[in-house]
Amino acid sequence: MMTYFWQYVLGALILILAAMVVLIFRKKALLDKLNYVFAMNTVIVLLILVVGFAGGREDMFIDIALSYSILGFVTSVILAKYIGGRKK
Amino acid sequence: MTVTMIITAVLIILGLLFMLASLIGIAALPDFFTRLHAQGVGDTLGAFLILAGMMVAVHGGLLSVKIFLIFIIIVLTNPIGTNLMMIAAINKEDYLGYRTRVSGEEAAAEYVSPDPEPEDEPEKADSEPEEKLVEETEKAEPEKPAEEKQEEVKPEEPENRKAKPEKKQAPKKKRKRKPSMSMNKAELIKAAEIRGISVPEGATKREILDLIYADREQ
Repeated sequence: MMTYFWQYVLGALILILAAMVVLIFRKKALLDKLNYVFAMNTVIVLLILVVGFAGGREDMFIDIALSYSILGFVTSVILAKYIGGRKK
Repeated sequence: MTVTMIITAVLIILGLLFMLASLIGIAALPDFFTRLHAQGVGDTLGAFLILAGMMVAVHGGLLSVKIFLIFIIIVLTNPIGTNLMMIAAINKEDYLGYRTRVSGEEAAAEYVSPDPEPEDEPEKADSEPEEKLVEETEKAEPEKPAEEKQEEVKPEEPENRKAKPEKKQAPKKKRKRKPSMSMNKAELIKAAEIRGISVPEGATKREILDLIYADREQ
């Protein structure tokens, strides 16, 4: 019962993620793409969690999601610094 | 179908709705800063509702604390990232004069628009003002449709990079700048009074500029 529910949630999150990937290629401005990367970071963390719940192994996937959220933040900050340049 | 299941389902469906709203906002809002704002909806409330549903689903305990830790990390880090992106956007292009406006009128008075030609060549300046006026008007036009603003972000990059060091040195030299549409109204009136032109009440920026240029040609 609950497994089906998690699978639907997984499908919805994957659809949101796919829409973001499509929109990254449609937007022209570089900073808009960066904005999408940031939004995708959150969605991917949730996706990892939901994968764990759907497979019944949430204890393992929660740790993975924890580390991914930190890594995704570091990636995004480095990208933003690289694109934006040093503040004067 | 227990109570925890129902609470989980309701919270997660609500969270998904907020994520969807955030996605639509990022896709459809007209301006870069508004899009940044729309991203925050999904990052805070959407993520919080989904994670709260998961916290209910694992029946409390250590796992639920870990999920809450994920939420803490998301909430702490995402505003930093958004802030960095905003700084990047402001540094990249002088967004509608944002940098000059934000630091008050003094900065606006000292701000030298980065056009390369110096003031000290009267013959050249006399032959050109009409052209330049048109250029400046296009540059300083405050109300553009949203699509044009978006397009502006990318192609202007090399020009702006070149212009940046000039902008930094300019206030030290205290170079006198030409009157143009990029100045605000008080500065234009001051510039007109220095040249001895009386400005009528309620004149627009454009009219003051016309008066100044007409005076210069004589």
